[in-house]
Amino acid sequence: MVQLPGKKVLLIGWDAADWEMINPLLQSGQMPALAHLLKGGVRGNLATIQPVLSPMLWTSLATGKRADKHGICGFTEPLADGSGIGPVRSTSRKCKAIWNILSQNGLKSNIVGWFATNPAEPINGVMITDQFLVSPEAKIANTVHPPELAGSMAALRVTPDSLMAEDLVAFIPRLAELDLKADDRPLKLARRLAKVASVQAVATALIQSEPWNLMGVYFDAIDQFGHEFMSFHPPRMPGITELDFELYQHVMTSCYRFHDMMLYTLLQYIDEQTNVILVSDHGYESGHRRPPPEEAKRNPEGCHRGFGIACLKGPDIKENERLYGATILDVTPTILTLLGLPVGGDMDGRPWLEVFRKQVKPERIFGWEGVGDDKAGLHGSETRQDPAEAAQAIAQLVELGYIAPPGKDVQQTIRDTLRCNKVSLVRALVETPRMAQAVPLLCELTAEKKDDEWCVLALARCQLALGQLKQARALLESTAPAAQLSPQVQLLLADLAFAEGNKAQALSHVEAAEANGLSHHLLFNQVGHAFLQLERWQAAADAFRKSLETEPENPAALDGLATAHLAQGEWERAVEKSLEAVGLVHFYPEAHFHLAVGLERSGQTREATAAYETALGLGYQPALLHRHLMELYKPFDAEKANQHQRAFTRLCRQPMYRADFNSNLAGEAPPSA
Amino acid sequence: MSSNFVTVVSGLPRSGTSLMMQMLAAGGAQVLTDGQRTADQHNPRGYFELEAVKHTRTDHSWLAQAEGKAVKVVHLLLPNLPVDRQYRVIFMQRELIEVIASQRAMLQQQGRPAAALPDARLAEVFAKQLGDVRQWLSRNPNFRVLHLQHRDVIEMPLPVAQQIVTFLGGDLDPKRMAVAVESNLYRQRQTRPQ
Repeated sequence: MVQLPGKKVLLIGWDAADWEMINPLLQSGQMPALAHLLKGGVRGNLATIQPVLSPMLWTSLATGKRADKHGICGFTEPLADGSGIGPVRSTSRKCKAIWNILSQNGLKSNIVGWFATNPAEPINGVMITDQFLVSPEAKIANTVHPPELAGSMAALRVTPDSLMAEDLVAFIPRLAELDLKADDRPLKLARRLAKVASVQAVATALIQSEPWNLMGVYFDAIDQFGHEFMSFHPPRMPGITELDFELYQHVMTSCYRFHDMMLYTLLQYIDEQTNVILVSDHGYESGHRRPPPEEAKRNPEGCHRGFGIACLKGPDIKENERLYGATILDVTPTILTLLGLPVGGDMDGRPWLEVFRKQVKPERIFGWEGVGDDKAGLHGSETRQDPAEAAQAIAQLVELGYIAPPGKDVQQTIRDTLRCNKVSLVRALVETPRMAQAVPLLCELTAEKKDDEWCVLALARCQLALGQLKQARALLESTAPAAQLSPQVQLLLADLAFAEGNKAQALSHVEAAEANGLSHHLLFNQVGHAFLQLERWQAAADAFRKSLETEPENPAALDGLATAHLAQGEWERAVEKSLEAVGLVHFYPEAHFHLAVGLERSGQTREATAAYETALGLGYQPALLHRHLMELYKPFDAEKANQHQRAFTRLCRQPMYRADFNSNLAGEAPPSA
Repeated sequence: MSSNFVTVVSGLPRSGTSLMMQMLAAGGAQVLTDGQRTADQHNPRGYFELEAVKHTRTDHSWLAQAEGKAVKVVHLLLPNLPVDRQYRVIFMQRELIEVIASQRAMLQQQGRPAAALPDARLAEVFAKQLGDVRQWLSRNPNFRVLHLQHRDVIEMPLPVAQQIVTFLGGDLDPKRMAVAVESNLYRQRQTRPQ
């Protein structure tokens, strides 16, 4: 076995793995390898980011950046020659991934099956792309780096027809009763099982034969199995026949147990200097919140839960700790820190220093882009491309009359793909929130398709956030009368009325929304926020509680509840809810601010200062925070107080549109521009 | 020209492919064209195109009549040609900024939409396309390639014509090929850096 001296990280990705599925299996002793990892290690929730689409998420995980920086915005993209669409490619990624950063620092990575890695980048180490697993033998040339490994790796692939009935019986105990001509689900299972077995076979070979500092292995099967078989997981869902339930109810638990066995194998090949990180990009609804089967097929993203899993264990990791407030954006900064490399200042995540055994002050650099590119194992700049730009260039060649336009279906597919990816980018921008960047894209999208309700409402929401009230009202009033009655539009109109200073009208919209019936936790949250603005604290708290009943892991509702408690002078309850909110999602500046207010009011000055600093670091209302910090530092650190005073004075000269300045949480309002 | 291979004139639109077809025709080569796309102000001597070529992705049956002849195929369609026969490719190259300026002028005159990208970005995309095609050609031994610069064809037509005759063999007349080059049709010219 080849082992490099020094620090190593084994990174394992289980797409869609969820504690709600894992916990019962751990308790019943059915996942012993994971139990071993957790014993003496760290566990926590891993918050996903929007949109919850795996290629975007696993690229965020591997870069520490959101989609607007990494450029991967969907599952597919137009082919370079304009003849159709294909799986999203590594040439579309706009920034370095962790394996590039390690390469330029002389460290080796073995990467297996990671999303959006095809064609293989010439990294220092081995890259087995996602497309290697599905490409025919004749087309694996660009799927493996170094290319000379292609033959030996291809020989390790497991084909569905090589699986025996016994292999499937663990998943479908009554397989023998099935007529495979009438029911193709066992064959679908076999295809997915063969793919994941191929990943494991290749990873198990590479972990022993090729030296590495980072071994990254991605398994998509939990998600893939989930989309086909989660509907049959107990308890039996309405619409699932008793027979189907009996036949397929064990598939998901068997899938998790199979992953546990694969984990066990990989853990056999690490040494005492290896830190192990096991993560998932999001969770997967497995209980009473599962969408009905037909809806799940229509909207697969709706099956995903906002929290995946994170487990860490190794020589540099504390024992038996819990990790709070972690997001998928943190994985790359954490690995860089574990391997002694600086974190890029342009990364959106943070290293999980609180679970490091020794106190570490991570080095930071401005960014890794443009530094040491010649050794980073990147594709040449001439091969990287933006698929939307490539499609434009092809369209120009068609217009020039040199290529026949693709068939109408193909053209439509390309247009749909580009639109879908643009919407995903908008969703990523709106989450942060960078409304000003989202608006031009939304204008393009609504110009292309005027009846796209999501885009219209998103544009109105952005305009509202940017203070473009007239534009927002004109847009909302241009929607169809039936659409205007929907709770979403009514709640948006309520926000607009608040911004226009018309509380009575706002209340009537909120009441109209409630009268139309609310069922989604996000709508309850909107109602709660509306009542906060109306200073009806109890009604707001009720709405947030209803939201939490619908979705318990719900940071926005927890923060809303904290705000309602703050407004009623219930400092300790506010602090408790704020801590729960930031414990779920660290990148939640408002919640840190509300935590700070609660701490300050309850006399915990030092903790309040830290929370204000965190909120400031996350970019929340700098003027407001500088003012609070100025006051808090005055008694014991005049220099810091002066720094914050100067920053406050400078910022107050700039125009602002922020709700909290009008709330009673901010205290005295700052001077206007 | 030998009937053992298909002569393909390729490159980006507006990189001088029609000019090259004119040269070959003037030199005595048989050119495969249907005359559907007629001469205009952008190509006063004609386009020398075969409509069927544009559908090569789905139908390359036109190749049955192409051996021993010259045919124009835009760069992006080269990887769609079947590798069951021999090809000689004259690949025209021109400064991308000139190509793009010429394409934009043509589209504007025709009232057709151009890519909504800055020239520099469009040039990067075209450069990548050309790189991909070159790489594909280098992997396929059935394709022998002669790369020619548009500017050289204009400025040194006779030496270039002789180069072509050597590449294609046969009894092409280089002098007549050179005479077919009209330098006054070289518009969108970039000043050569000193």
